[in-house]
Amino acid sequence: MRPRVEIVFQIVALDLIERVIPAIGPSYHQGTVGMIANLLAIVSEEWDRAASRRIEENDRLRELFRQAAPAVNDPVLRSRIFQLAKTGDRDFRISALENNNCALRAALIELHAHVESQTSAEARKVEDAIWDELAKSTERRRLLSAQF
Amino acid sequence: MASLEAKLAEYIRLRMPAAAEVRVDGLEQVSGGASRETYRFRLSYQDRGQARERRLILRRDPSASLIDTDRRIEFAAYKAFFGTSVPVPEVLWLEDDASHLGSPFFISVEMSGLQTSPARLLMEPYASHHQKIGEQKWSILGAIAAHDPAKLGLVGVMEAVEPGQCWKRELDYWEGVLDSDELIPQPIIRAAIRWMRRNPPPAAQKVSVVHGDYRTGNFLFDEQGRIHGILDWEMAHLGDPLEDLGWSLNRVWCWAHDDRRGGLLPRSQAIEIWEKASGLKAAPDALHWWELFATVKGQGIWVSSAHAWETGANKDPILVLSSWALMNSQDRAALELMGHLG
Repeated sequence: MRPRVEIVFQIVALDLIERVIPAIGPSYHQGTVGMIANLLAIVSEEWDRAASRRIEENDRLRELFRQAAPAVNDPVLRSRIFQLAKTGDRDFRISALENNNCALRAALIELHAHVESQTSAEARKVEDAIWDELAKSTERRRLLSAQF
Repeated sequence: MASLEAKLAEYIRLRMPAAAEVRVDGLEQVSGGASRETYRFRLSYQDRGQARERRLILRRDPSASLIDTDRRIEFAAYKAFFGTSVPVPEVLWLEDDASHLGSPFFISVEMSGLQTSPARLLMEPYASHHQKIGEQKWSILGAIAAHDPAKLGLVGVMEAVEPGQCWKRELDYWEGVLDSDELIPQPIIRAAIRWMRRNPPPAAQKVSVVHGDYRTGNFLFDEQGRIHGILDWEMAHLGDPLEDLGWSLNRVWCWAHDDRRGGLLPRSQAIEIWEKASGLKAAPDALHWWELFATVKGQGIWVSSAHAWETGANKDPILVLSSWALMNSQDRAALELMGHLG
């Protein structure tokens, strides 16, 4: 799509803030349009990276699961982690990538809780890898407008 | 709006039977918290031959909101603190009967000509008064903690809690919100919850009134940097006063995009002011637990706002915006507190 979607949304958001809001009377409606402009600005920022950040994260989680599986004592969880590690993203629509991401992150919660309860050095290594991945996951999602 | 004005006038006539020529006009919806529809309006009437006029605020329950709250408790909190060292607007009438205006509501006196917006706070003339505003903000929070809930008449109105159970009750509640409303898994906040259950805080030094949403954006200030009213008591409850302090220090309220909490003061200074005003201690380990709790509660609110929008009960854009804009920051705040931000 040309002009590029993220740029269109960015310009429309600015237009709402600079031209439309001052022309609106009641402050409540100004606030509502301001919120809509902010939503468009977030979509603008997210649009271009939406697929790539999900694909990257899904791959990282699968790799983490591959490396973590031997440290998992629970056979049911270990099998689940192995199975998920073997999956891949074949449908690149955002909704499909998001569904895969949710399945992987749900398993990550279980894996994290499991290794927390283990005392082995392998478990600590997996735990460190999980924290590292979680910190990176917030970098991938970070918005320019975010307070923190 | 005209119909709502007429219904309001009809209701106020019932509440003020001695008043004559009761009229409501200038009704305008305003931004006023995320859990109730807020309107300002002008009430005019004749009182024993004298013309009177008052600027009032209507807070009406919506079909679904960012926060599910009890308006009776919110009303009681306003009433209890009115006239004390904790400035609040005067509340007039509470109405549970939905037949008057379509849903339950309460009415309070408007404190006119003041600001609440964090964005405004970053602009002049307000930006020059951050130190002064910050000192008042955390002094008032200390005053809330110092007040005796029994003397305020709030014991019995708000659910009682033992000092050693404050943390558990709150954590159970907000974990339950996450369980029921989360649309996507929350690995960071779930890890925080597990840590918090393994490392509970000490019992509360005292059980006090907890405002529940004490932050920049929920108080009224003027151009001279004076705070005139603490608003949005919809999540008020009895609990550990460190809960409010932890919430006020939450990173997601760093509106100035730096380390100043609430966009106003450094964390250490805010704590010092609060300790002096409350007469209580913010033991580092206990406060750390409550700051981490603030990230769980915050995520609970953003998750439930997304859920409310997606399930169709309420399509207010604030529900989406708060979720999109704050969830990742809230995760980062939790990571920072747990020493894993990198």
